[in-house]
Amino acid sequence: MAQIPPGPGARAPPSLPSHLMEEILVRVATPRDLARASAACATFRRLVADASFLRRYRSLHPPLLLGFIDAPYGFTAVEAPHPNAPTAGALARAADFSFERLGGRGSGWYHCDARDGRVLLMCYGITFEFLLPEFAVWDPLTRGHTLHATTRRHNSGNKLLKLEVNRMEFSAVSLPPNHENRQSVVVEAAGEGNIGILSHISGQEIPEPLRYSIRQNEGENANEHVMETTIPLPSDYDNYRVVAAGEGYIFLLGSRSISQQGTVVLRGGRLAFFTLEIKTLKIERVCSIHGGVCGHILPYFGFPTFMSPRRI
Amino acid sequence: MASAGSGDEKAAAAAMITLISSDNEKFEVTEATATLSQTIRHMIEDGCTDGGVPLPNVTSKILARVIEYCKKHATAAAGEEGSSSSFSDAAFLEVDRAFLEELEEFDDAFLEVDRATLFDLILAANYLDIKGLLNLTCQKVADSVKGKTPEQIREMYNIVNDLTPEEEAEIRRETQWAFE
Repeated sequence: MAQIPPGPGARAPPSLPSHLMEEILVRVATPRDLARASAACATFRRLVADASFLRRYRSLHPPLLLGFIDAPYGFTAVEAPHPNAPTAGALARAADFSFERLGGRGSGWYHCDARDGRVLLMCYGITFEFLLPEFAVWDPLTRGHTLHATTRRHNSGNKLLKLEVNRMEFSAVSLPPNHENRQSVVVEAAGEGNIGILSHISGQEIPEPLRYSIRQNEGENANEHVMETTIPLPSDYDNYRVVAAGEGYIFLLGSRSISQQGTVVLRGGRLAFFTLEIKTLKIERVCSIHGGVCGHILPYFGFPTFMSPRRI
Repeated sequence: MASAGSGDEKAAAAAMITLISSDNEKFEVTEATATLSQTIRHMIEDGCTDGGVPLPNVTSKILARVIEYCKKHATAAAGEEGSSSSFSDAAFLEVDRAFLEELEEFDDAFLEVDRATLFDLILAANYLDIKGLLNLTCQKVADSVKGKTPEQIREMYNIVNDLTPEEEAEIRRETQWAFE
């Protein structure tokens, strides 16, 4: 963006009423720039701290990728040079990602999903007939939570199970024919009510390209897979695993391994998270992993502490 | 850059509206151009535009620029309506894309003004209720804040720091990460 030339002897800009200041501030691209602008004067500070302004800002700007939840290792924040690194670092210092202190009847909480800065947790409560999952929504910033019990049982079979978090409803999605025996991820953000399905074979010596297929959800060609693209993966990591999808991204775990006398050994500290933006199909490395990885990995999106809602 | 009268041949027979700036300069525009302003649209609907529309809050310098914007975007709106019936036609889509690119270039060039003029345009867009222009100008100011310190923002927009040292310290504490 070109700088507006101030020019010699330029006249001072006229002052704007506060509702127009708000129109400007709500369009500031990043929470980081917004935080700095809010320190310019009392009017800006008051506008930015207002709850309705923050609601509007959050509805206009996508939440930031701040890191990954991977119990028992906790939270891994995105790192520089990623633009969200300072925000993520502040979150990691302020938030609490240890869910085990949560109550509930079950035997330990499992992290299922994370949306709008909150984490959906699940544990199996024991009833007379069968196991029923119990859900909790955890806010790592306020350390507050709500509990939800389910009453229906679902058979997954050979289909993917999709959980609509807001409605707590499950639905089944068939796989495209050429995606069998592959690790698959359903992407809802393919637009126009279509469902994108991304698949990948993990454990190959040479990283195989990702395969991305869009399935039409409605209309004449419903349930047909109408488009397919292959995406090559960066060659400096030699093994990739799709670990999650959401907010228009696919998340991959890359590792560098070497084969020693027939045994595959991970090269020390050579694990990293990658993002694949669905819209542009662009792959980017976001952080390296210093501990380890184990089980289910959740990307964590949110806004900085100063502009996060207090909902729980 | 659109000059006065360009692209208006087709609309020559259309109703003309006279806009009168704060310094009493008169501007003749087509109804299609004028109604990009919701304020003027309502005045036309209420039938109170005979003898011209006085705009006591807008100088001739700013009004000329606002009209330049409206002319270009009114043509764009008419183009969109014309091509919507042939939506499936790839050739039309191609034309649409080229036109949108041209419009974007126009907007970029339009925004190459000093800060005072930019703020005047915001005030005029708000007063005349021209959503597209208000969005464009506010976005330009919002973009100019990118990567700036509070001191630089104050200097750029002639803002007096009226925060108490305690408030300033509190903001820095809450948003330390934004200054790292």
